[in-house]
Formats: sequence, C-alpha cells, structure tokens
Amino acid sequence: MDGTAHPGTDRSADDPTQPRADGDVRLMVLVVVVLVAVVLARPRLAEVFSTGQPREWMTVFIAVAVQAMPFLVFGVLLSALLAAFVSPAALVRVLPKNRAASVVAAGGAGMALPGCECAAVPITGRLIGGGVPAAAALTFLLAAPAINPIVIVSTATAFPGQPELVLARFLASLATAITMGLLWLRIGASHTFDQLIERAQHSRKVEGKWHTFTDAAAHDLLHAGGWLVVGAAAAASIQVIVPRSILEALGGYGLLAVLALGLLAVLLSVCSEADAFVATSFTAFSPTARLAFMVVGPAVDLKLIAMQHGTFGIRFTRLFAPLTFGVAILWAVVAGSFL
Amino acid sequence: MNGPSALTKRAIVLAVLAAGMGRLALTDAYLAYVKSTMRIPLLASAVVLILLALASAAAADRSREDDHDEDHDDAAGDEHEHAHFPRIGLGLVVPVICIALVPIFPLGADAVTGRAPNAIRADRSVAARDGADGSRSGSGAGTDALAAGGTVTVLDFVDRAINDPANPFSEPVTLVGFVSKDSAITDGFVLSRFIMSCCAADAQPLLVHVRSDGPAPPIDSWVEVTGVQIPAPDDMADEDRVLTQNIVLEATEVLRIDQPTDPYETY
Repeated sequence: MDGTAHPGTDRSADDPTQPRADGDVRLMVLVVVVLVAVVLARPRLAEVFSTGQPREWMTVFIAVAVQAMPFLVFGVLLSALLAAFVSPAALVRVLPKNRAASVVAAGGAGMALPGCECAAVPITGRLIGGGVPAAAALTFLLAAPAINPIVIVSTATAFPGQPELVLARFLASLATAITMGLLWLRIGASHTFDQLIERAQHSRKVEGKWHTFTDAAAHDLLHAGGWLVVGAAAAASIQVIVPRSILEALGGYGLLAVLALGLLAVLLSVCSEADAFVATSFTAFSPTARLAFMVVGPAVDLKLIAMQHGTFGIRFTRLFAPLTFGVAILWAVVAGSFL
Repeated sequence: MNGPSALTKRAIVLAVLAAGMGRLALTDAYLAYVKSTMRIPLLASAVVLILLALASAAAADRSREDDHDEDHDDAAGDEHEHAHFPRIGLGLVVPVICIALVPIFPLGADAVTGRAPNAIRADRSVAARDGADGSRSGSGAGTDALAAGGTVTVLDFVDRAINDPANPFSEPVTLVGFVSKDSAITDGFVLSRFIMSCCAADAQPLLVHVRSDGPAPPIDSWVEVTGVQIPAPDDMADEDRVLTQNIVLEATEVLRIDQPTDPYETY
C-alpha cells in the first residue's frame, strides 16, 4: 500500500529493475498535452458536431455504444459466472456427447439468453475457453441473439397479425445457427482458440472465486467493450455516409433485393431487439428480403464483426462472418418461400 | 508500455465508463440516444462498473503487496499469472470523452434525409389502435377517442393520415416536433419527429406537412403546432399517401418551444 498517494506512479517506487518512471512521465506528458488540446479545441469541436453529418454521426455512435452497454455488462457478468463457478468438466458434461447433437442443443440453449448480440460474444468466448466444443459454442453465439423471447416478442409486435413471419424468422435463425455449427464441425477443426483457452487458464489461477469472477468480468468488459466501440463507430459512419436510398432502390429486384437488405443489416448494426421495427420500414421489399434483414442482422453485423475479431481473432472472423452471411441468406430465402 | 499496472488501468477505464453512463442516466441526457426505459438498466450497469472498478483497484493493491518481481506488461498471449489490460479497452473511454466534449444532441433535421420517411405499416397501426398495444397515444383508447383531437403523437397523426384517411381528426390537434426542410413544400414547413424502437441507430423520421402563412421557423427549432388535419383525397394512390406533402396539417397556431424532455416518440 506504499505510495498510494500517487496511483499510477507507485510501481516505479518499489520496482527499481524496471524503468517504469519513464512510462509514467510519458503518460503524464501525454495526459497534459491531450487535456490542453481538448480545452483549446472544445469550442471548435462543439461547433463542428452541432450540425449536419458530424452531429448525426456522433448521436448514432454514442447511441449504439450506450444502448449496448447494459447488455454487454449483463453478458460479461454471465461470462464471468461461467469462468468462476462452472468448471470445464461440468460444462462439457451438460452437452450431449455426440457432436452434432451438442450443436443442436446449443442452438436450443440460445432461446434462454434474453439479450442481444453484444452479450453473446463474451459468453461464447468463455464457453470455448471452458472447453465447450467450438462448433456448439458458435451455434449458441448465433442462436442466442436471434431467437430469445425478447426478440420474438418484439418481432411479433412489429408484425402484428403475421405470426408466420415471426415463425419464419425463428426457424431461419435457428437453422442458420445450427447449420453453421455443423459446418464448423467439418471445416473448423484446424481453428484453435488458444487465446481463449489461455485466458480461461489465467482466470482459474486467480485465487478465490470472487476474485476470478471480478477479474474475468473486468477483462471481458474491456475487451468486448473496446471492440464494441470500434463497431459502433463503423456503424455510425456507414449510416451517415451511405444513404439508405441506394440500397432501398433495389426493392423490386428479387434475389438482389434479398442480398441488398441482408447487406444493409450488416452495415446498419441495429440491435436484434429493434431490427424487426426497422424491417417494417422497407415497404418496397418482399417479405423474404425483410426476413433476410432480420436473419442476417443478429448473426453478422459491423459491431459483431468487430467484437468477434477481438474475441476470436482475425483469421476466424474472415472465414466465419462471410460464411454466416451466406448461410443466413440461404435460410431466409428458404423460409421466405413458404411465406 | 511501462506505466500503471494493468489492474490500475482497468480500474480507471471502468470508473470513467461508469461516470459516463451515470452522467447520461442521472440526467435526461440519455434520452437523446436511447428510450426512457433504458434509464434503470444504464444506472444498474453504472453500479456494476463501479463495483468492478473497485474490485480491480483492490486487486491492484493486493498484487503490489504480493510480489514485486513480475513483469506486468500486457503483450497478448504472454501467459503469466498477472492481469492483462486489453489495449482495445481504452476505446471505451472514447464515447465518454465525446459526451463530455461535444454538445448532446438528438437526431435532427440533417438526419431526416437519407432515412425512409413515414415508413409505418397499415396492419401494425390498425392492430395497435384496436387495443393490441395500449401503451400508444397516452389513453390507448379506441378510434373514436383518438379522432377527437387534442395533443396527439406525430405517429398517430401520420398513421391516421396514411392508413385511415376516411376518419380524419374531427377536432384541431396539437403536434410537437422539430422543423426540417423539404424543397417540395413552399406553403409552410415540415414538422418532424423521430420514432425509435431501441436507440437512435434505428430511429425513423415521421414527417408532417404544416401549412401556415407565417414565416417558417428555423430548421431544427422545436415547435408546437395546433391545426386541422386535411385528409388526402380518397382516391389517392397508396404510394402518394405516404409522401410528406400529402400528410397535411393546416396550422392555426405555431409556437416555438424548447426541446421536449424526450425528443423521440416510441412504438
């Protein structure tokens, strides 16, 4: 506890072998420079962000981040519970031995998590770290934000009198999740998630369950949250730069319209609990195209891509995101053909 | 790379984030971004963040006491017993800095262009008015009570104009919204309100053509307009009905007002 009067500088005092003082001085200089710059720039910043596209960008950026934060906190609390209180052996035991069956079970388990996609990423990271087969965990990642009760209720509210559309969404999303899980059993064998497993091992080394819990929660929150902010910035930029009218002009063009709304779902990064309301606004599009918007959105979007990239690595995301997009479009078209 | 330990950094970032969430949710500022129902979840997450920040700070103290010989740097994948600060986590302070530095604005007139206006579906609104969703329009009453007039939501007004033109509001109505531009409208201005289901990213504009003789209020100013609904002709095509110029309020009174506490309408 020595030197706590200067938090951030005290390590240098008791660790003479490390030139930490340099780091602290640099940090102090940086903070001062940034503060001065900010004070000088503030009136100008206020002016720039008071009108036009910068203002819209800022509002959407902060809105996406703020909206996601409670869900993210909820998600990391669950992921930390997994890390601290559920042993890998117990996790593996609850899943069916058969790998394909475990994928299907994980899809069904997605119904139980009342959150949106931001909550699912850290939880999936901990599931894989805890020894759950990646295919099953990834199925959960895709299913949870798409088929939980809140999403179903909000979809039914957005499309009253169209239970068949709600059912189509549910089935197409579940089918997408399970298909990706089964595909991953075949193509994902070479993908290892060393980072996640190391992180889980690290968490288990922290002494005491409570400490493990807070350590895992704080780490996952910073990690997933940091990438969430990157995703929010990307989504806000797309919303401001690309006028929706460009994609909406494709309304009458069959499969092209389906792809256009699927792509729009990726770019807009709307929460899975809100996307049904946005889908209702595409009045020029076929039900299948709107279904594609709702099936793709919770599975692949800019903020998810950023978070997945952070949690699972770039090599994974480069393969997983486009593949999921294709599978989601496929199932949306299949389900849409019954509408 | 040297500097405060990973745990100290964690505590600082988490505390800054908690402060940002708290600053938004303890005032009405959060309403510029999300729905009013998000206040409790935001405050709850701010409390959790504070607790996690305290736990990280306590852990930082413990690790200082426990050992003095470990390298606390945070190279990814470098396995050691110590906490690790994911550098991307610094990103979390960016929105908080933005909130602190930049004026807090809801979506405004410039965001209206580029988003599909008045995109509300007939079946939803009719079902909602039949009582499936009592939360709408204050009273949640049936068609007759709504048709009487008074202060109505822009959603109700636009909904009736598009989906129920045979039953216009029989009495003068009062709408609250901000002024946006539409070059097609020369005999008044556009009253606009965003309707949101979760956050500003999914907000969609509702636009009403206000006919008024007086000078149009400045773009982005908030107004309270009282007037009479001018229904579209019965034989107007559906795709023309949704056009702003055909959703008409003949104004009798236009008042400049302050931005309402909740700048958005919700479903």
